[in-house]
Amino acid sequence: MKWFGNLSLGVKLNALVLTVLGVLLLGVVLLLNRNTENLTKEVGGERIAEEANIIGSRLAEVEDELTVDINFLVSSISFYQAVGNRNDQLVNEIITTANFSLSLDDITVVDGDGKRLVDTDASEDNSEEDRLLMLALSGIQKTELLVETKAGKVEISIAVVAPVYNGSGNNILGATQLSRRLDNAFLKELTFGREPIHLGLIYNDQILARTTPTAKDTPRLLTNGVAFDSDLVLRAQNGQTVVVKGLISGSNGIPHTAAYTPVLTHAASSPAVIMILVDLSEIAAFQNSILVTTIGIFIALTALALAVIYIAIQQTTVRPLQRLKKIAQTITSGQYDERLPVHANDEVGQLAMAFNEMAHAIEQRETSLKAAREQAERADKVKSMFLASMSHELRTPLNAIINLTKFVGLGMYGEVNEEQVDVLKMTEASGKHLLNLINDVLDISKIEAGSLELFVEEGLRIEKIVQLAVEAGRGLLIGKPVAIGQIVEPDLPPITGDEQRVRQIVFNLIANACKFTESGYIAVRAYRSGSEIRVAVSDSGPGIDPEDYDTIFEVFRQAKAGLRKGGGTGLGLPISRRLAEAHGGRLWLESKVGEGATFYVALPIESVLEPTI
Amino acid sequence: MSQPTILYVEDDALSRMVMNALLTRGMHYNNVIIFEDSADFVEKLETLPAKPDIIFLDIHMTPLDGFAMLRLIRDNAAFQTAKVVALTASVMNEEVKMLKDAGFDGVISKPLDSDAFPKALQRILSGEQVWQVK
Repeated sequence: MKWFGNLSLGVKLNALVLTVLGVLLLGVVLLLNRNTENLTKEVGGERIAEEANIIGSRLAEVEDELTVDINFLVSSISFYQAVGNRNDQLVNEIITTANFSLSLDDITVVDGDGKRLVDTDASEDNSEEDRLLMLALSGIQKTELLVETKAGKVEISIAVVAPVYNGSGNNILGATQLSRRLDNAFLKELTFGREPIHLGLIYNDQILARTTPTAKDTPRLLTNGVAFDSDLVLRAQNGQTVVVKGLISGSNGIPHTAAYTPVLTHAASSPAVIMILVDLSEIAAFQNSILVTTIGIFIALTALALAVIYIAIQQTTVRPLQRLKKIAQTITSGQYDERLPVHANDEVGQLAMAFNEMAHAIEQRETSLKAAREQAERADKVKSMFLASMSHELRTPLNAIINLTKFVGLGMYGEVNEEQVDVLKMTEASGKHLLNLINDVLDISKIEAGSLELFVEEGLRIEKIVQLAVEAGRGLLIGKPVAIGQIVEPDLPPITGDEQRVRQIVFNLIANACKFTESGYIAVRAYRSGSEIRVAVSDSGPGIDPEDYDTIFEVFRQAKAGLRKGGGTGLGLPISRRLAEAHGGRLWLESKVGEGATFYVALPIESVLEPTI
Repeated sequence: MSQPTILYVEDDALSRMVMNALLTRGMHYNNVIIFEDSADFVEKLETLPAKPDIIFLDIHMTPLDGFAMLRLIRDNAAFQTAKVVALTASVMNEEVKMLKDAGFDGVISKPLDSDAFPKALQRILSGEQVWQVK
């Protein structure tokens, strides 16, 4: 689902709405489909009941017509006289004339002996026809199905037989038979040629005739792949019209309704049954078109709704959020006075207001921070100026104190005795010490204020610096049983830095060693280590307790030994370490209590410092 | 080499005393001229008995400061060969840079290091620029 989280808000909401509407559409389609099917079933059910009724009535009519016809025929005087006279020629004439209007398929007339006078449609096997005629000769009038075989094909007709009486009605002169053949054309006539109704004549478990015959017909399939149901046929044979409940799906899913009706309506049973099949494709097509239209409208409305939602989300949420993002970025980039326009009082509007409040708070904070920063900068500047001018003001009198004392000591202003020289030298040394203190305080102030400036030059020779510092150290050791020596690796590369400051560092380390070492040695080594030049000052002094390692680099703090020793400002090592760091180098120590200490200063050969002048 | 003629402009009496002692008593230079302020600077320059080889200027003084005096010296055709050195108790790099940019030949800081001073003087006279007294 990670990809979903990256989508735009509008797309996300639309996806959700689409999902919901999709589910809704599915439900609507299912419901509609069911309703449509029910409607088709209902309409189809009504339709088949109606059709079964019509067909049944038609069949009854045919039967009744035959009865009417035969009664009319046998009661006509010329006819029964001709039959009584066994005048087959006359009978034939009468029948032919009558059949112009009756349009029957078969008319048979026999005399009192059962001998045929006329048979308009003689078949191969007359036994069934003869059986009926015999019944008529015995005085029975009857309607029955007549099953005959012609050219190997079974033909079924509705036949009516009746005796032919004489004028007084007490003597049977012969018998006559009228029949209507139940062929394709007859079935078609029954439907009045209406297309969606298909009829099939079922006899002996197969279809013998149908309204819509095709070359591919099989004995069991009526049309559209719908077969008859033998059980229902059996029920219809017992004289009952059977309407099939529900729809029968034909080939291509065309829905149908079906019914079975006995051919003979007045008899108790009818061996032949007509299957009625109504093709409901038109109704179904109509229902489907409603379904499609509904879905179409639904989809169109959904699209419209999505568009509206998308635009609404864009206007009310996405655009304001994008604006918010832009303004937030603008504010982040330093334009603190930017504000978001508030268009509404909804959640987005409230967000915009809250955001503006936050921006206002940030602006105020920024303003006060800026003011504080400026004040601090001003204060720093004032401090620096104060220090610079203090330094200037202190140095000017010191210039006189140190130099004039020295000049007097040198005898420039007349002779001085030894005692006076000593006093003057002490006075000069005190002046120099005071100068050093001033310099140290000035240095540490600059370091603390971050305004330490190095006077950077190229080509500094570390060996020269070490040599001068060792010479100075030797001066400090006068009267102490301490040896001092230097080991300088040949061909050390020159470095870039503030020469006076580098000297200050090295001299400070050596001066410290001289101060704390009462006997033994001080060894100063200068060597290359990787990309650094190192100066290591080792002594045989008291060493430093590991717990003082950090303390001795803190401003105005000295280790206990140093405190006992007195003298110094406690600024030498902190200044030296910071000076080394300002050169891109390091300063550290290794020591064991009672075994002396080694201080290292490491300066990079390739300096990042740019020469000052 | 004959002794150089030296001009020193300084408004602090003690500083003048120190410099004078160093040059005349310490280094035994005879041609040392000292101005006690910067008033009528051009007129005083023009009435000098001898053209100075080297001029030491205090920076912080009135009515003209060291930079103004330097400009007047450089604008005067008669003093083209004179070396001009700042003598100041301000030792900030920024000021050293300003001095160099203004056209000084070097700087010597206060308090004077009387041991290092003679060598620095010689170097400046021989045409070198000195920006740190070592």
